[in-house]
Amino acid sequence: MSRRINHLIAIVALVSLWLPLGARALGSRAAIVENRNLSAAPRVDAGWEFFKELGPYINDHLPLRQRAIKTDAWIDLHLFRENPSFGGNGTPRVISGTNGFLFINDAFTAACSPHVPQVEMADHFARLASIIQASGRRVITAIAPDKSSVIPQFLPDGLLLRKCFDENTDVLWDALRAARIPGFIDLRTLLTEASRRTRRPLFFRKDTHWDSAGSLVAVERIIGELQPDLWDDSLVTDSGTYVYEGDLTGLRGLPEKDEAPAVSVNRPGVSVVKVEQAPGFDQPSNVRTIRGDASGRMVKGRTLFLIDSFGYAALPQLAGFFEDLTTVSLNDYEPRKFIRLINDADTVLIMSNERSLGWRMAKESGSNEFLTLLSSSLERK
Amino acid sequence: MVFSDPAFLFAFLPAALLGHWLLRGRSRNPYLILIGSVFYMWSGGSLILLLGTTVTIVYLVGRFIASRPQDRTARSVLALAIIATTGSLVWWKYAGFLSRQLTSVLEVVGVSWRHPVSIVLPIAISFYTFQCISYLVDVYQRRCAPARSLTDFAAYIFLFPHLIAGPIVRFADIEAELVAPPRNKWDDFANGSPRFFWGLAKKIIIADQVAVIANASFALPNDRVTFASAWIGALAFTIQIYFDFSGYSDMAIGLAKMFGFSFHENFNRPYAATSVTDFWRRWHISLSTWFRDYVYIPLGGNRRSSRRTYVNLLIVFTLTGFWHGANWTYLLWGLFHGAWLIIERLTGWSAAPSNALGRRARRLITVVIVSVGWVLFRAVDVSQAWSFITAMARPMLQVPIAVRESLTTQRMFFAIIGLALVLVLGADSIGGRLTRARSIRVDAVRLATVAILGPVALMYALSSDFSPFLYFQF
Repeated sequence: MSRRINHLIAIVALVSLWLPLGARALGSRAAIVENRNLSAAPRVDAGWEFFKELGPYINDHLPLRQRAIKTDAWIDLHLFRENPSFGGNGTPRVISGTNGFLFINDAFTAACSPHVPQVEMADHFARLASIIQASGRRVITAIAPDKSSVIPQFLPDGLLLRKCFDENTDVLWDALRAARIPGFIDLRTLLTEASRRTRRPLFFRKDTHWDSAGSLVAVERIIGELQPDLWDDSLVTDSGTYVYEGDLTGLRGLPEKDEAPAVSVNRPGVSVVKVEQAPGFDQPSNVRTIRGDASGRMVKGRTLFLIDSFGYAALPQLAGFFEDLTTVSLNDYEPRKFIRLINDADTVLIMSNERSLGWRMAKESGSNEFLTLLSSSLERK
Repeated sequence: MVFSDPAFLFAFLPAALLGHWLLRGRSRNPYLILIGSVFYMWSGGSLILLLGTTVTIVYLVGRFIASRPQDRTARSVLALAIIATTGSLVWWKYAGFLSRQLTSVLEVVGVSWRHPVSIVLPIAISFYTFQCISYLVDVYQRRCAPARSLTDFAAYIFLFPHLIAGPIVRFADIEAELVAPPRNKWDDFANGSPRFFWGLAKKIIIADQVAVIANASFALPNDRVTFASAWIGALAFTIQIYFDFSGYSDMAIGLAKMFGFSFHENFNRPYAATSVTDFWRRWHISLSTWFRDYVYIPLGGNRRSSRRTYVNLLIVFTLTGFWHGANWTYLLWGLFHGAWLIIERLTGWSAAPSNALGRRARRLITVVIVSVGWVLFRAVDVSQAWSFITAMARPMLQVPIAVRESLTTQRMFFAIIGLALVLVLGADSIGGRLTRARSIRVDAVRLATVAILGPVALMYALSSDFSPFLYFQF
């Protein structure tokens, strides 16, 4: 065999195997691509765990990984014309709809294979709110609907789970309405009607969340339930559009930017002071205390938001209505912490997104164990 | 850690090769032991001391056996050593399974015994145990000389290309290479790389894609398995296991070549077989020849009566099945193949037809039989295997949604390519030719494998574990 060909083969193989290390030597560094911190360096004193930690550390810190992911995703999207499914998942997590809309497949699997029956979800949610209300606190409850529940007209044809999704979604919302949940706001109906009326989708095209026009609908209704006259003090400003990066594009490996409406709510006389970690209070960094400091009128007393990313998306519009606001992510469920924070609050807003409701009501803040503990531990106001 | 892990491809392998190229002379074997040990521990081998102890004892026993004539003492020591190594394998691999079966049996007769054995399975024990046994028997039968030193013998066992998942290499096959340092490391790297990248492509691009289809089918509850889903799952797994296992063997052969060793082929177009008998001459050759040489032939092989031959076949395939794992499904799979070998002997079916049409028809039938066998192999338990096999006989074209969702365009594309490679083109002849054949056309294929297929496979390897959170996690 030709020696020249042999040399060429060896050089090409060499370059292929050494490319990431070579790139690192030239200063290239791995990017955060999975919405989590890169794995920490393995601990030498960790015994056999050292090797378990070494693999993820190396995998995370290899340069060119992001480029490989993007290339893989590009091949799926442009050669095979389908969304990528990474890591051995059976189905892609992202669904491509019409007009450039993206949806999350998790909403369909959650609807079609719920952790608990929908009636049970609604019942647990009602019990959670009732316990808090019975303790003398004000409670507002809402479920932030998934994009596919509000603007299904942008879903693609031929979705295998479409039929069961439509049926089960209606069953869930009927159950929520029928469960007489204290302080419940039917955001699905509100957003669907508002979308029709304004002819706006009210959700980001490339993101799972409602956009600022959509969150405004929720915010207005929440304030309307708490203290309607506060809304009269507010100034709603439509500033055109702004550029955002959709979480669904990151989920499929090819981050993309898009434009969304920029709607803000200003409260004259109110400035929001963000405190990431209140001093002297044992809490993890996800808890944010926002204190209004103003001559403007606000919801008095201490308010607790138990929310997830939909609530955080609405927070810039909501925060200015509250004198003393603490936010806690429902994802960081810890029974004692939640009870402590509820005890400290005068008003509690609980808002979960639709697709996570089943899990939370079965296993976390709506579980029988937590409800029993809450009922026995909550102090009366 | 497996060969397709990014940490192996872009950190361990480059570092291992660098050390190999820089070292000279007799430092090679200690170096192989070192990197083999690191590879073993990195792969989850906290029981490396067990491996080291086994290697040391087997080496010493080998020296003892070789120093004596083939007398009763030597035979007794050999037998004891085989019993001890086999006993070690049985204990680590099967004690848990056997204790669970005992618990079930005792419960049936009303005795409650809730102390099942739970043991961590040492990585690679099935492979190195068989290598040690073959070494001792070969030394006793003077098929090979004993290793000159513990270092040489340990380098043979710890050689990382075959350490974790085979092929089962015999000491005699690489004895000369262990003793003599490699002459041209650059050429070795050039000769091994195409084979390695070919194997990586088979695993990453075809096997891992098709695996998703098989997994979706085998994840269905038993009462939702349909004719269509069962056959889709069986065929997908038939493709998956071939490309996964033969791909891994290709990588092992390529890696061994990079470090100056030549391993035998482990697959030879198994889905081109015209009978199940023929299939076992082509599938996992290192295992089937091991059982032939160290179990079947000592039992008498086919030299005695027909009935005894059939018994020997059933024994060998029972052991073959169980070797793959501690589960009744593996036993059934082994018995399934053993039974077919007996049927083929009885009917004369093991001989290939003389005409081309007959051979094609028999290939197709053999693939179907083997696919049904793979259902037994892949099923998590006997009841799932039964659900699949009964569904495969009840024509109904409904495909459950979970399986339909797994049939993406990309996966179907690679599944068809895989099917074409095994049924039409004979993929293994490609692998073998990449290493051995000499011609301009083969050189061009080798270059294309390294320059095109290799980087594509590496790209998929680097992106394969991408699993993002939807929102930022601190």
